[in-house]
Amino acid sequence: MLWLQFMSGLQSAAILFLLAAGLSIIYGVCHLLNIAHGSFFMLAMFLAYSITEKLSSNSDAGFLVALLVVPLMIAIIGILVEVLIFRHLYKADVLVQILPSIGLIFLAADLVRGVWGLESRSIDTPSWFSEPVAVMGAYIPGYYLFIIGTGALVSVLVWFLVNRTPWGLLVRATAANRDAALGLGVNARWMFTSVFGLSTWLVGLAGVLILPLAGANPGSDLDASVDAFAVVVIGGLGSIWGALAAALLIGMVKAFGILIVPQFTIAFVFILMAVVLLVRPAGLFGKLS
Amino acid sequence: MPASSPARLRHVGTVLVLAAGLAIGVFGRETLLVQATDILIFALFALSLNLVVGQSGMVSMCHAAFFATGGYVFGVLQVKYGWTGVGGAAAAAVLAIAASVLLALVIGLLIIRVSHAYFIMLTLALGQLVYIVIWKWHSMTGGDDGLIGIAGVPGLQDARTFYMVAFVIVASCTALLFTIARSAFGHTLTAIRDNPLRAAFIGVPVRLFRLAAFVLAASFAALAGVGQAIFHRGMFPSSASFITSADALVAVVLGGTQWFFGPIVGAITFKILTYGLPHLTDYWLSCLGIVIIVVALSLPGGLLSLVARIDSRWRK
Repeated sequence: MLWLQFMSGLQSAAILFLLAAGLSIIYGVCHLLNIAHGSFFMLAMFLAYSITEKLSSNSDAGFLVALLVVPLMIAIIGILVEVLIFRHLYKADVLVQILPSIGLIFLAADLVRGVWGLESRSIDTPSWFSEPVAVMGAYIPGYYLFIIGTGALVSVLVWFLVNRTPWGLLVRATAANRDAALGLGVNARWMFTSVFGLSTWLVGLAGVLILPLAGANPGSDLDASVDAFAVVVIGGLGSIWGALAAALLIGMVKAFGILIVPQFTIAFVFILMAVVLLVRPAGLFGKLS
Repeated sequence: MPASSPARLRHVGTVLVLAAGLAIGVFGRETLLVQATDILIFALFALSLNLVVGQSGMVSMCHAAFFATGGYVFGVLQVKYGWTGVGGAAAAAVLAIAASVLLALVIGLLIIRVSHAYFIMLTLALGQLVYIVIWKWHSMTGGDDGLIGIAGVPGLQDARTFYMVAFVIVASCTALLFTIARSAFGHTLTAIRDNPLRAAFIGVPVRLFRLAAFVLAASFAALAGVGQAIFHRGMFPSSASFITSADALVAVVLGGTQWFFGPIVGAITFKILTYGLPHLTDYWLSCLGIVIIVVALSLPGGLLSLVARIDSRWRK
């Protein structure tokens, strides 16, 4: 039982990390808080639903196609949004930066309402994962293991990108000291656009992965944003590994909290946030600036 | 502030708005009176938000929580506890504002020391929490069905009378907020907004002032919420939603945060857009979203900066 909850916690941690990492990276590099982050997540869920439905003759293949295509579509939308809107606001006041995000939230919510309506949409778990897997005496849903595996793989990939590639070196330099990096000739435009692309790709992947477990609703955008905010507030805004640690913490608190007080798992997350804020106002891994 | 004469513009604008407001009250038909009342309530709500946003430089995304708390506490006292009649309604309104002030104190104490980005995320998250509580506390708030059957105040049932009373109250609150904005307290808030570190060095208790602004703004938002409850004879969870907070923020920026009357201009413009756009297209929320993005990109100072710019050019 406890083992099952542990795996369930790991699964939700994987989703939370993919969801929040992008928000944190964008802030760390571009100094921009995109509160429309959850809207990309919701859009990914609905797009994945439609693609799987279109290929309903073979829903496994449909899911696979969605898994490969939807994150790319979301990344393209993210890049377009950066080029058309956010690129022009990096030097603006915080308040003016927030405004287009609100506009995007309205746009995405209205688009979803118009195209998909107000019902909840979900898809079946791909048949490869329909059998539970026996792990250390407990039967774990196979799809949990797939999410955990994908989350781990993508975390390693992100780590490799950031720590072992020339691009990652520039990202780290820009995050550490933006003005110095830009002064030394880092191509800011390309850097910020690519960071937006990667971040929205991650959030798109999270949206597709969660769809068989949780339906896509018109309210998924803000729910996802609040989840992502909880992760980055606890982990420290701008820190990828803070996001990973906080995702694990929240995942476990949710998984085990449900055993104690089933109705109020959300309250646990807020209490955790409040405690972290009182002890470390910049998050577990954040720097006070 | 731009180089033109803001005071002259302000005088002209105030006279125009007051005259138009009175004209609507005297000559307006029922539909217009209802819409104008709606605008009045929204304008007070936006104006109270600007005390936090424009004057103190804190971008709050949970202002709807205080608005809804005001309306819901008032409504619950009337519907569930029978606080009707003039005296009952007045007591309910006072208690409603007190409840909002208490909520603002709790939220404020938790988040007042965090920096910009954290402040935005936390206010948004806590605002959603209040929304979820209202949504799920069905026995008290009616949840999704809304809290209906709010009696309001005897003698205020007629649209024209209610509009006139709302007009007087909102105008008085505006004058009061204007006095606060121009007081030593208001100037200290501006100093903190412009440079918190320097303000702290000269001995200003930065957190205390920020908290005071946050709580004071919440009390005016709660009053607007009480107005909403009486106006609609009911409260609905959407009043606490992100959309409600965002609408007010958009109105504030649309009018111009650095102008005291910016939120009023923004609120009127915003409401006219939300009345007009649905007649033109089903996707009016998308249109509104695009308008918001365009304003942020091309007119970050708000409509009043534009007016001031045109005014100064015209007078040359």
